[in-house]
Amino acid sequence: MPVAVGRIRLRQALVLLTGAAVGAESAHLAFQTNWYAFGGTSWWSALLGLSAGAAVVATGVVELGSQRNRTAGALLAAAGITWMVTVWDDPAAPAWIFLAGRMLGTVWPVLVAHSLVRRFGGLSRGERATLALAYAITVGVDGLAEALVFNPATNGCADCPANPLLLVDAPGAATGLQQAATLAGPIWTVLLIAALAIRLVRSTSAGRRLELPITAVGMTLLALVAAGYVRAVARRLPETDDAALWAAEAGLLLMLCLAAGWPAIALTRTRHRLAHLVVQASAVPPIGGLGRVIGTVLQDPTARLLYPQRDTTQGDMTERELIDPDGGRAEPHAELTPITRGSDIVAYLDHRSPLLDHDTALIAQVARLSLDNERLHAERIARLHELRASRVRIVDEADRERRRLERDLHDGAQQRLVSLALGLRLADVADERPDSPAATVLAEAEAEVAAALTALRAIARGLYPRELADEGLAAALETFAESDPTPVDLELDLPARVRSDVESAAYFAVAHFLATPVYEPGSGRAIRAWQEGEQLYLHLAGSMRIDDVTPAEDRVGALGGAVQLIDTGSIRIELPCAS
Amino acid sequence: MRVVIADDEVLLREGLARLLAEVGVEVIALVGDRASLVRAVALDHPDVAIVDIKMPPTHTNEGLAASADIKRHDPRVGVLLLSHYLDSRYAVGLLEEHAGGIGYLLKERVSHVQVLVDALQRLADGESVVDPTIVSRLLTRQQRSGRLDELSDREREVLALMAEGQSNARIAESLSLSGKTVERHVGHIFTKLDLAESPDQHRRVLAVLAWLRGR
Repeated sequence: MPVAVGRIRLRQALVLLTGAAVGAESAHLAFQTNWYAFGGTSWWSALLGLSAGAAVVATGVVELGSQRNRTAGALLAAAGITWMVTVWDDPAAPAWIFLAGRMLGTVWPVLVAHSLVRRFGGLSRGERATLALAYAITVGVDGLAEALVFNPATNGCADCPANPLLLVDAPGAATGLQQAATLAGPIWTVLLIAALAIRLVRSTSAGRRLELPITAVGMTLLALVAAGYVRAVARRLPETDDAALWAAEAGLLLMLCLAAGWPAIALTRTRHRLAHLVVQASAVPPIGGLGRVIGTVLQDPTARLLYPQRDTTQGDMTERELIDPDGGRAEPHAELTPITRGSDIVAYLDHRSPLLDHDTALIAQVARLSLDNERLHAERIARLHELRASRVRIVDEADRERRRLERDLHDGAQQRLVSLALGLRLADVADERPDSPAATVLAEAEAEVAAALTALRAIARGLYPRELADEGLAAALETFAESDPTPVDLELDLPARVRSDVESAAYFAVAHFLATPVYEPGSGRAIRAWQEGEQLYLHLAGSMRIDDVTPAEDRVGALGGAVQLIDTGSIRIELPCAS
Repeated sequence: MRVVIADDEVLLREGLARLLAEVGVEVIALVGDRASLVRAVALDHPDVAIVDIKMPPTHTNEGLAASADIKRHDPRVGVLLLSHYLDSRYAVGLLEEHAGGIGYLLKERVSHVQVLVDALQRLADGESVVDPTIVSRLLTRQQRSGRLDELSDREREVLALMAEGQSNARIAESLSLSGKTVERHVGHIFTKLDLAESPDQHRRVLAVLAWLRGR
């Protein structure tokens, strides 16, 4: 949700002021106690600690002003402030300052982890629980609970200011709470390290590249904090006093600031390059070119654009599969980032480069024309593919049906008629008087049956010639030429069989054009068929039926072939026959 | 004359058996599949086996496979293959595969009892039988393309009968000519068509069919 710029600026100013005030107080306390701060007693160790805190606060404030990392920024600023608050548990400090130092002195690592987890997305239930536990121990047990029972005077610090929150003076309870919190320290730190590791593993490859530097620094930092707790437990101290450890932590906090800046730098570079897209995309690139332009801009040669194919046949606009700019089905190689316009996904960017939502929005804006051009082209081609496939299925189904009918005729009707002819003949033989009227009727019936059988055989042939299925196109054309009443000159160079749908298309196209029932003397025809690479060619010459080319064109066209009418006496058919 | 009939259509094979019995052909077994056909032929040694090309289980060309079995086992048994459709390539293939005593007729010929008996007789004598439909189809084609122009009408008749697998003696009988005359016609045909004459009856049919098919 967008927040008004003015309110953001106000928040940034408030956080900055708080940080400055806390830093000033910390510096003041360190100066008062001969630079006793952050486990060290030299001016430079105090300076290192304070500058680490200041850097963290500053980074947090900057991020607080960004669209994306606002919450993470606020948490980071809080971490920087509480880091500086750790030096406030100083006997020389005023009572409330001293109390704040004691209460908030151990929460900063939790805030750092919280900021890191929050930085790259929402919190999972496990992360929420881990953070809650860590806050409860550091602020609840070690902070508030202990504050209620801790009396400096009875706890061995006579110089310390009185505790204004003291309810019950129970030295034993205060020590116990503090020890419990120290013991629990390694537990929540390790849990937070694990949470960060899991988040890194689950991240996408593009996201991981962005998250890795800062998360690695954060995990190391938490590991150091864990080490500090372990050390304190081992030496029975309430908290660590190791100057080297404190210095290392301060150093890591500074590195954290640099790492926080890294994605911003990387993204700024990307955005800078994206600006070039505006110029390049203003000229609409050829189909498939937009993906390359974006790839060049993002310095990711594998980047390409994919489009959602809308299922128009189902009547709704559900997106089923992805298609590339040439309309072919596509599987994403890498990250798939949707490019949206309004609430519609117009395309997907398949990429390995780091990219953010507003970058894709920029692409959607500047490449609007090119995107739409390419998307419409892709959809059109995809639909054409679909249509062609459905045409092939229809022709295939028709052929299957033809073959089934042909078999049924031979095995059923024809068989029955032969039995009938046989029966008639038997009746005839049984009839003793060869010239009786019955014998004449029987002879006529037999002739009828014979004619029916001949007609049936011709129908079966026309449906689907047996040789086409059994022996292939060459055999079918030979038999066609043989059975045709008109002489047909054959010249076949078909060394091997090709796909049966191609053979059928070729055969039925020939049968269609050469279907001339009446023989005129001298009207010879010629069929030439040959195969060249993955292409089957047929050339028909002579008197032909060219008034209706559609049936042949439908079959041949379904397989991506073409029928070419050269002149009234010559036709050329071309069919792709790759298997 | 002793025959075995193999056809999975019970009505048809029973009718055929009765018809053949009427004209004095001894039908010694009726079977419906390849295995029982081969067994019946091995047991009963018929002169001819009448075989439907399509039989169970696949109804494609079990009859062909069975006739190959029979011929391998005993080449003297004639095989008459019946089919619902004719294919000259098939006919030539069959003749090439076997050395004689092989016939290929349209299934409906079974009701023309004289044609059938004649074919059975020729097969029993080791000759070959090709359905006249195939021959006339090929002849018409060659006639129209002009390749038969050199032959006289009588020679064309002789050529057709040769292509059907008939011997000179039978041709002489069916055309009512003397054996010498038929021999002279045959000699002329072979010279005019530029065919190598062969004393073997079976090879002669093959050569003539191949020429008619134009390759």
